[in-house]
Amino acid sequence: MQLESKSHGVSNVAAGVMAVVAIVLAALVGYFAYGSGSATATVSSTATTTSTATVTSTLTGSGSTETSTATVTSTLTNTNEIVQLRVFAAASLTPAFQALQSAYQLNNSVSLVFNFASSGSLETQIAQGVPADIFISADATNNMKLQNKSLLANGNTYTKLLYNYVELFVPKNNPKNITTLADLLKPGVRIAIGAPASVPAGKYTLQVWNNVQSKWGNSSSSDFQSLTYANFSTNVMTHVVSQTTDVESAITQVLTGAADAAFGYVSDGISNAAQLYAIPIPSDVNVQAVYTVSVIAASSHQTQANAFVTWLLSPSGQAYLKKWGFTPLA
Amino acid sequence: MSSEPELELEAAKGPVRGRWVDWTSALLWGFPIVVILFIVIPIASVFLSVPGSSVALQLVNNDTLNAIRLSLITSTISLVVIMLLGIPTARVLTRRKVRGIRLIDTVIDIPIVLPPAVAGLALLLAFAPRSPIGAVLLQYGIILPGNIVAVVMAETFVAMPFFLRSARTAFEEIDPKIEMAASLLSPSSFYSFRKIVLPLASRGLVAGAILSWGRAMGEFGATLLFAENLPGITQTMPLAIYLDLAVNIQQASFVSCILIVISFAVIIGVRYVVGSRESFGIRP
Repeated sequence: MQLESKSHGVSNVAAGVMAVVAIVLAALVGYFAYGSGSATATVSSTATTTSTATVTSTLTGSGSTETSTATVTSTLTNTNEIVQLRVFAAASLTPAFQALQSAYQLNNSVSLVFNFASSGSLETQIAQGVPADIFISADATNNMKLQNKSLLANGNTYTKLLYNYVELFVPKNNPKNITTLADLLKPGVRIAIGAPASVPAGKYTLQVWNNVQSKWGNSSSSDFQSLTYANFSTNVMTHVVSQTTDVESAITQVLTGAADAAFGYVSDGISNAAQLYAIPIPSDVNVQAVYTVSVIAASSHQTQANAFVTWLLSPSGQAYLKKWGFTPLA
Repeated sequence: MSSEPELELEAAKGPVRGRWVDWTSALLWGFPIVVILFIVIPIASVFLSVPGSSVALQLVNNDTLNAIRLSLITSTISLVVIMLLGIPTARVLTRRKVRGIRLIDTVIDIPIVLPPAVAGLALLLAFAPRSPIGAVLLQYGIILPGNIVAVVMAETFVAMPFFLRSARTAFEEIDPKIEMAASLLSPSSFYSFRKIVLPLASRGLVAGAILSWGRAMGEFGATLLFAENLPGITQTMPLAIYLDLAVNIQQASFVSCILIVISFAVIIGVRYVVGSRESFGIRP
């Protein structure tokens, strides 16, 4: 027994070493086979660095007119190779960006690859050095975090991209008959929100609740409505059954019936108009979500990244986003 | 009239045991029925939520096809890696009375109990370019996150313990006497391992391989954080489903159906192949 197992041990150690070698080889082969695409992309970007100056100057002009986009496209068409841009975008932008993807790719020699997740997760990934060219956060905080780590391009800056507002969503058939914020306090109502710590939509939701309590529920306030709202923040929190990892998942909870109501963005109502009924939150208690965009300093395609940002800020880009329920800057 | 109570008494006496046994077996059958319904109803619901075939065909887009291809490629590579590493590891750890073996066991099992999101964060902190190891890799131009290698790493990380567990059990179930006899017949231990031990353990190894392949195929949390959700690059089927949930729930359930069908087909296929090979008998 002893002898037998010992001799096996030797052969197994040998097999183990062989396996490790095989895995390292396989990993390298895999890396170079799949990394080749980005390798050629790097080459083409070095070819276009000469045009960086023109593009950044148009960017500082903050999407003035269509002429600026024209210069950008002309500089880009000089390169024949297709550059892959990795856009790390807040989950709430999923439908809008998927819709504009093909239109933008057609007019510019870039391929947009999106990574949608909560702004907080994306910030963590970028801070850890995960390759990204553009970061769009549903707030300013996450871009500020990257700024504090000096990870942003264009002089370590980020810019405002668009606005969004908080809205309440219930299923079309609305079984709990929710029509106002006060209805959320009815017994048995289950609410889903984005986790406030990492999901901006969740953070904005809590701010809305606080506003409701301090304005509508405060008898000394000029906006006072009813004492129902007196302890709104605390009371409504007891109805929260799910704090999701991004805002889209909170909406999904309503779509599947796991929750009776969810707080999301006005933009979420557009893509889910068929199944959801949106209850607007009055502007006196609503919160303006400011989406911010930045180009990542480590990006090797800054020209193309800046061009895409410029386009997003241009009238045509803003019009695209408006179609999906976002509020343009101007 | 007077015989009636007697009959009743007899009837009550006689089949008491039989009736009691029937009740137990009926009750016992209730358990697998509950278990099977609990599995079948949700899966059936996914299939029922998909629209008719003509509409469903329109749901097949480039991203879906890429996700299917990527899922199959990465889960298969992961399985190869897991088996190459796992078979020797399981063999080394079988019937060893080494000090600290319990600690090794615990370490191996960690990914089973670790939430996948934590596994993803752990991999990110260990191998992302900003980590010490990642910094070294970066000097050689290697960036793991956002690359197919990261998908394989995430899948291997979470799926490996499932293979290791069944492989160890498979090796441990082999009669030590058979192994001894085999090693007496041939001086080369690798020969006896290949000819005797591996065939005898094959059933357990295949079971473990199916388990870990399935786990790799379904891997979500660790991949999302460590490899990102990049369509065509790192987006496997579970990640595509997750993204589709935000846009189109029908698309999500359609891709789910494909995932379920592929997984079923592979499991049944492997069982069939292994079953027919085993019927030829193992030649010790």
